[in-house]
Amino acid sequence: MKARMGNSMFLKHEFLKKWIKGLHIYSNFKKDMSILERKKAIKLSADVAIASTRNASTRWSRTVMANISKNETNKNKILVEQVFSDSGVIKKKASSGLMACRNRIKSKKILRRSHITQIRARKMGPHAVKASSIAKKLVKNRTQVLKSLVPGGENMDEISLIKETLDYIVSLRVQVDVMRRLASAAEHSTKSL
Amino acid sequence: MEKKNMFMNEVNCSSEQVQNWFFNPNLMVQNDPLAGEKTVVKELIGRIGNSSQISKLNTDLRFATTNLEFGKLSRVSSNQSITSTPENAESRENSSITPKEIGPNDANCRKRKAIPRGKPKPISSSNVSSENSESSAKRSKSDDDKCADPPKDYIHVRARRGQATDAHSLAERVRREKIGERMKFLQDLVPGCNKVTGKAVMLDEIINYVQSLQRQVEFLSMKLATVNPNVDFNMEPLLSKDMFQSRGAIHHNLHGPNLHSVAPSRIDVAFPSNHFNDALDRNQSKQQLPINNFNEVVSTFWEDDLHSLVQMGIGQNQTQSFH
Repeated sequence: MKARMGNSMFLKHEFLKKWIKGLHIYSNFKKDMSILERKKAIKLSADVAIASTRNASTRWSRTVMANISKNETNKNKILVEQVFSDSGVIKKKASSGLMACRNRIKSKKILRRSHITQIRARKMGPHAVKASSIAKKLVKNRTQVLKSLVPGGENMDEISLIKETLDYIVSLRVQVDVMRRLASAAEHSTKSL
Repeated sequence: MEKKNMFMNEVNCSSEQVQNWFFNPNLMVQNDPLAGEKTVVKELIGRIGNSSQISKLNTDLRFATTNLEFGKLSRVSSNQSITSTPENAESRENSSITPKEIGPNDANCRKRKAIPRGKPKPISSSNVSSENSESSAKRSKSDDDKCADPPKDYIHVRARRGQATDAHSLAERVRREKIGERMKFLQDLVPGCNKVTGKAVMLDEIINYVQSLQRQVEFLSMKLATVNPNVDFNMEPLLSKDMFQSRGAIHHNLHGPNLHSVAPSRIDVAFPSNHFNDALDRNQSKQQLPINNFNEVVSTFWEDDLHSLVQMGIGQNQTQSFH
């Protein structure tokens, strides 16, 4: 338990450091931002920060970084590149991973199609509604949903999806924890004044 | 049949020993899979291959199989081995989870991952089936003379008692077990998943949890944006005099003399909850290094941008000057 606590504390520190760095860069870009812009900036730098704590070792972190540097303007790219010096590595990893995944998915789809036609050819009988088939459908639907939730989850098989989800949940918890404490601290300070 | 019965007796007697023994080599397996497995196999041979019946069985089996290598233990041991995984799970949870970590850590050396080379898998599966039909070798660990051949590039899974020995179903079962294990980790992580069994419901819980976490991030970032008129808000508004005073006592306890006197307040104020402070207390030795780095970052940041921050007009938080 203590080991886990220590590790998560370290993560929180790392995250906070990087987040502050990112926010600082943002504030240098623009002096006055509307509330929505601010919120976006905060969220963006938080996401980049939490993704970079993984050092591009997980698929979701690479996807997050890739999406952020892809989207929008130079601002984001500069943010990513300045703050996180290993972004070049990340981009390479992301693209190579994607290609491999796409090939894998294509071949899987071909296999699945042939398999399905085989099954259809065999099963001419009445379609029995079994509990197992219902359960399988449910599981399938839900894994689809999970894939859409976890960044970069679309191209993964079930096993690695679950692994990525684990990691993603841990990082999300760190992020939420730090942000919540910061928010309450800020609230306290405004209240006391 | 007599052979079978006698063999089963042997197996049952020694099953306890083997179970006790089984865990240690598993720990070895982590570091160096091939070497560990070889020694494991040799131990197996040494311990069990004593009786004449078993050696006879060995020779019979040797003729029947060519590629087969040692399989897993009987079902009995599987329960115990699973209990050892939660300890692994907890320590593993927060570290970056790599496939290699989880694989060898399976307490059941049921399979070894490898690239199929040369001899295709169907042969091994057919050998499994023939062997299984010949003797109750589903519980045997004896046909290990072949294991002198380096256990190379195979996914070797022994069919369990009363289950299909098809290559496809074996592979499927392996895959299912992998997924099941990882779901167990998720159970520990996602609150309220302990009572739930079954993939569908658990997946539902996981989805809800992830969605709620993501929504919380959105909400909190909105809140942080409203609380302060400036994005660069982190340090300035938090270092109000009140907070500093209220936490003064705690600061001196937590942080040693090597930190600046002002610096501790920044971290503590950033994490005002008592829980954090307690945890910090407990883990002080571990945290010295990251805290020091953080302090340096923060203090340089602070000194460089103090004036710019003040000039930016932090809104209502203008009462203090932090020179």
